[in-house]
Amino acid sequence: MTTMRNRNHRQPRTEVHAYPVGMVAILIALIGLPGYGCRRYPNDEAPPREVVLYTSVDEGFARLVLAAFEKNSGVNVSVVFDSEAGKTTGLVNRIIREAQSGRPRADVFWSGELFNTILLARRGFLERYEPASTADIPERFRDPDRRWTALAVRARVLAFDPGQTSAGDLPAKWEELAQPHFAARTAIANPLFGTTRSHVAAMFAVWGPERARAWLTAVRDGGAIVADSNSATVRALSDGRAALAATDSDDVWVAQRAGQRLDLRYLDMGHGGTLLIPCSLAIIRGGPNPNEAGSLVDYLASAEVERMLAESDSRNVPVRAPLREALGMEWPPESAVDFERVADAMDEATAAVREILIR
Amino acid sequence: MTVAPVRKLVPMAAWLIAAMLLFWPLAALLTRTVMEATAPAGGFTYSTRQLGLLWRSVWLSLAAAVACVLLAVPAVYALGHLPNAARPRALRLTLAALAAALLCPPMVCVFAWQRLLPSGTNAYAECAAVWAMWAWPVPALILSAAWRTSGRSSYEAARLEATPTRAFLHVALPILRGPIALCLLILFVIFVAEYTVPHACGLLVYATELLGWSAGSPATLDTVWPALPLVAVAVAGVIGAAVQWRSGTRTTEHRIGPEASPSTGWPLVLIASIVTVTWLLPIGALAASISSLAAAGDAIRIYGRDMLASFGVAALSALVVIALGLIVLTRPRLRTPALIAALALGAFPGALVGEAVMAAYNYELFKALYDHWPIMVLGYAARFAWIGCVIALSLEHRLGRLSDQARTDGAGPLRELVHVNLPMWSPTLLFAAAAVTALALGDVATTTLIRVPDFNPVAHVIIEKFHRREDDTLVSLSVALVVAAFPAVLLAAAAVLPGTDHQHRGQRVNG
Repeated sequence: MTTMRNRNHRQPRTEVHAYPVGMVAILIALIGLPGYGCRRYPNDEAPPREVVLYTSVDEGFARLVLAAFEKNSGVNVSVVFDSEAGKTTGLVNRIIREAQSGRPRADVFWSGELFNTILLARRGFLERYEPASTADIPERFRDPDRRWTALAVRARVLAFDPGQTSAGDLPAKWEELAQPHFAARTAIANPLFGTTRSHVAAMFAVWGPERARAWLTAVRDGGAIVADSNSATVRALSDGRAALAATDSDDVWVAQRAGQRLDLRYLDMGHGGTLLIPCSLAIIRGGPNPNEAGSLVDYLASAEVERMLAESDSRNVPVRAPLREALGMEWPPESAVDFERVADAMDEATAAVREILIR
Repeated sequence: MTVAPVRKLVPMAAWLIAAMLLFWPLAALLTRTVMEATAPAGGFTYSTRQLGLLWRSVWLSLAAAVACVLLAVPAVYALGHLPNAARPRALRLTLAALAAALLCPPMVCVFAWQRLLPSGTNAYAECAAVWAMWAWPVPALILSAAWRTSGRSSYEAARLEATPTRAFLHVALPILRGPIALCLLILFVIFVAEYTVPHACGLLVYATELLGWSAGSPATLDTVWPALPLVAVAVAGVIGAAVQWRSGTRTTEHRIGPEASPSTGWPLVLIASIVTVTWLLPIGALAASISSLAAAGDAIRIYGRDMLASFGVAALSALVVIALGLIVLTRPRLRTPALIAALALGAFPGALVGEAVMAAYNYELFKALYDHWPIMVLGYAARFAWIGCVIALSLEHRLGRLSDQARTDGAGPLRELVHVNLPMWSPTLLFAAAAVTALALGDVATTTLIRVPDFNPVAHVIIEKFHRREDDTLVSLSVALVVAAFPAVLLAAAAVLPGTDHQHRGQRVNG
């Protein structure tokens, strides 16, 4: 049989021979890249210990903390960060799905908020563990069954531009924000997700369903802007689409650091203050590296890390009173709502949001 | 290895790739949705808000698609007036410029434009404008190719009695209405599922909200049900594009007409001007906003590993997509099911593709995939598999007499593919691979659910820095993504034209 090599039509192939060769070279180079991204160890050295962390804490900050832990402990931390679109619930649902498939992949969950962690604990996805050196953390920031530890709080605040809105024109209570002249100028994040979801659940817990539903209705009728994240509400404030933004304290600090003239007010939600949102730590039940998980949680729950969080851009307020005093930070005016009750109200609040606001 | 085992292995590998990439994720998504047996959180209805967001997404995407085609028309006009004699140099420059603009991820474009546009710019106008100024090379390339093959002779005839502009507007454009409709539909499908630009503009559209819905619930139906309207809209667009494609291929003249008034000067200047305004200017403004080289160095040092891994994963995804395209082209039994599955996944919003891939591989059996970067390769490749298929269909018409003669000479399918088809197709395949790489590098929606501990995709790092207002890191990584696209730009410039020439030369040799 005559092969193609002996034919005239070989001519075009020889003219373009550089392209297949080039393709092969590119393939080899590209295939190597993902491997380059992975850690490699010499043959005579056992792979170091590892722990898998799922976290919704600010990525830049988490990197600093985890680098210090890796250096001190010799344990490598493999991290899955949450995305802004995921708003913590993305990681929570991932933990649930992996546990349901009988193969938990995470060892530790380090969340930027607490209420979803409580829900994970109630569903039996978290391991009991009491981190070392947490005796100075107030009892209300620790699960009675020791499945989670909370620390380093942020607060729900009302952000405003003092150049556009004077402090005298602000509401004093969250409930007043639903009044038409405030609601029409307010941006809130979608309460189906993130800390705004917890905030609305806290309203249900503190005010009761009737007042909370009336608030949602008034906010809707008043024409409040519903944005897709807390940071988007602050951007709405920056670009003039809103005069007031219901958001988290760290979003305001970050905007201030970026040079924006924003200020915040702690509105009263009842019992004299606003909702506080602590970060939380937990060990996932059945995770692949339980020993290393304990080491990591011990470190993340330490006063050292809480200090780092307080000194970071998000300025989380330590739950340890001596540390607050040492740093000169004040405890935000706090609503005395029980965290468990907020978690209790999550489902009812979400259903009401779907029915009233996001319909 | 001898030829016989290879002949057996190739069909198996083809089925394996198609199954892992397309059939299994779709089947897993369907199975899990049924097995969970739960109603969506909002019930089996669509809220007024959801329908409102859908309507907003549809008209915004249509407006952007129209703006994009209008922006491309001058470039098409200029491309059509580049003379054949000048093509080796002029077209290389032109294609490099178009590739540079196209391979810049849309999130980088929007962050760049936000540095130029005045504060308080209407968010809808900003979103549509950024989409148009990012994607205009797509219609420019499609329409100029269509003009060269199907509208040129009529235009040249009209030019005997009319000015070039008048002949173009009144003769060429009406003839190109089919390809124009095709461009509008392709752009519409891309924009309606795009996440980053509306998000950066502070706009809520269906795709941005869908991502929250998918991340907000462990129940699969809570993602599948709200995704269905978007899928329906995208499927309508895909079907429309397919119909236009078929009618376009039937009416193709397959000729390149002589130019009455070739010129290398003004067409190049016109195209350079458009590229300058739509790409060079905003990217330049972005690069100029880096506060210091030290800050850029820090960003690269901290995120270099994530960036490199993201690039490698994106490039591997592109290779898988191209492999799938070749499978569609060369395996008749797989062709129809693979094509349907790829187009279905193409019509899915990224969040739903992520849901399907996670449903498919969250098993002990697949832990080597699920726990590491290969799951992300599968995710990106499933999302952009349709590009491989579309490219494959476009290449089918280029087989020509060389393939016929190779078969007559006794070459088997594999030998024909390796020695005849791949050399002829390689320029187009390279460019397609570059495009998929760029799209994957900028993708956020798919990897909101598909994440691995090995690394944080650079697109997510950039979005996070946008929210945290860490401008130096955002700008440094964005500019690094633009620089990372340069090899693909050079490939486009170096490869596309010779491929075309060889094809014609080959036809001459054998004709």
